[in-house]
Amino acid sequence: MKSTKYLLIGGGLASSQAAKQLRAHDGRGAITLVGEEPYVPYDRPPLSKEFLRGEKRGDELFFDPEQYFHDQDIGLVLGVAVQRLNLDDKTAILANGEAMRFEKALIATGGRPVRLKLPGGDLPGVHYLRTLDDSDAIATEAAQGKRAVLIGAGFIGMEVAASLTQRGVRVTVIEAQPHIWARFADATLAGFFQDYCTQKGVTFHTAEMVTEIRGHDRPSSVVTRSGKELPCDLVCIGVGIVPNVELAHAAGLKVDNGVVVNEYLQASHPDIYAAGDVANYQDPVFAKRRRVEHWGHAEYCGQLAGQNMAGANNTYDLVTYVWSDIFDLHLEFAGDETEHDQVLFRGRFENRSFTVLYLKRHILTAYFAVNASSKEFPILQHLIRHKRDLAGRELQLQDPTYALKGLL
Amino acid sequence: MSKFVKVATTDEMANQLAKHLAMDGEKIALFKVGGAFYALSDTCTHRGGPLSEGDVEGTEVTCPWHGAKFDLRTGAVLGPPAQTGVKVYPVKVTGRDIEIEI
Ligand SMILES: Cc1cc2nc3c(=O)[nH]c(=O)nc-3n(C[C@H](O)[C@H](O)[C@H](O)COP(=O)(O)OP(=O)(O)OC[C@H]3O[C@@H](n4cnc5c(N)ncnc54)[C@H](O)[C@@H]3O)c2cc1C
Repeated sequence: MKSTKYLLIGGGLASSQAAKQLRAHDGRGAITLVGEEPYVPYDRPPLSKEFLRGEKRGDELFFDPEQYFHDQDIGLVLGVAVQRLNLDDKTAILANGEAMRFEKALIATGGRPVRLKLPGGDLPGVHYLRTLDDSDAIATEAAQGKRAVLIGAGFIGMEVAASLTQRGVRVTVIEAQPHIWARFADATLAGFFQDYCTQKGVTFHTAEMVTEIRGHDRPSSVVTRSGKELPCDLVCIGVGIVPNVELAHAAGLKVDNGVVVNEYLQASHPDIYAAGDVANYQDPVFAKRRRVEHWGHAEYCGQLAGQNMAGANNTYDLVTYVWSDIFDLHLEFAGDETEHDQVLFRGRFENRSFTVLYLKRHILTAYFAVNASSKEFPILQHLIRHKRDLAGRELQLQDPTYALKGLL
Repeated sequence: MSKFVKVATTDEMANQLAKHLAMDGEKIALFKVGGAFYALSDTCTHRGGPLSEGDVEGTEVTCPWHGAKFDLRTGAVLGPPAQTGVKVYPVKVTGRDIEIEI
């Protein structure tokens, strides 16, 4: 039977960061990364942005070339899933039938798109977006003049809408909620973006649902709940992801909206760790359990898990953040927007440069910055992390000419 | 072939500690620390943040987006999350002209 000291399950960002930290902290221990996709770990954000717009090639998305893994003596098993974990004798069974013994393992299996059960939902030309192959398939069909229907207006959905529009595709977005970005934006902020994208050529149908995709061997139209039939050449569905927890669950690990880990990212078995989109962790800043599906968190978790697997005792301490690019708007978002009872605007929509501040009981919990001065981000993050009481500071927060440093 | 190109004047930088320069395709950040000038890529190797908008302490700049730190003199990474350094450009001051080799 093969054996390894560290087994990294999943070939994404979190695993690749863990591999680097393991090698940095344990020069000799055998590291093996097993990934279901046939590629070395690569960057997903460009899949809805630069890659989809044709500005970057696939091979530019790899974090490191294959040679790097050879040089660092990190074993790669690609195109093969881990099928089963046996925690009693610490072995993993791979989809190719091989068994591998390990001392410590990281579960960084990420998530997969939620599939909609719709008549016509399995037609070729109906897409989801998670992998390089997914994005490649969309890009291949996204020729000038084609009509695309996008179902779901979250971060990724809106990025795809912008990227396809920039390629000359006529885009219609259908969102079940009354406005886009329902998960994190209020109606005013969402309205600003919707108007902006409308001016750029995107059509929106909100509070609307697709009930059927019609077509013979490809989609030719979608039918909506209100009875509209919208002609189209391709459909992209982006309605969220579910964490890939099946492996952990079957192994008997504690699973609750993700693999449950402690502040060291240890799962319910002390030799098993979890990181990235699949982890349900205790957030020290907001003092609650969260599962975060953002790049910076996966990067950070991968590093932390790698350090701890190699013997460190570091605890999670990150103000989570995410960015997005939509046409020429750059968004930076940090914190936990679900925790707020007050929303303040710093700057004006009309100038296309502003920051929305979310507060709860006068404490900053999140910000959402659009083309805003990034000089303020470190200060805002400090205010979030240290829970500064901002009662009575509302006018200053809303005044873009006021230097936020004064609040530290 | 690389050559020195004038990008700013010392007068312009009198009241400024950093400046963003857009040079055919390349984004460069020019910093002034004490009397010295440093030029480095204005695109953080982590996720592309503008270093010219970052805080400078001594000869260390912190990317405003996600906190990566770089050495202004060498471009080397001094703090996460970035893992690779940024390109530095030689700077020359001739009279009042600040020139960068690109
Ligand atoms: C199109 C797109 C755009 C994005 N844009 C942004 C953005 O702008 N900003 C941002 O902050 N975040 C963005 N994200 C989110 C970010 O990419 C993710 O948070 C990050 O990739 C999570 O990393 P991970 O390592 O946890 O999981 P993943 O990257 O999903 O990697 C997990 C890997 O594990 C593999 N795997 C699963 N099960 C098994 C198994 N049993 N055995 C072996 N391998 C397995 C999967 O095939 C996958 O390759 C985007 C995501 C997508 C899809």
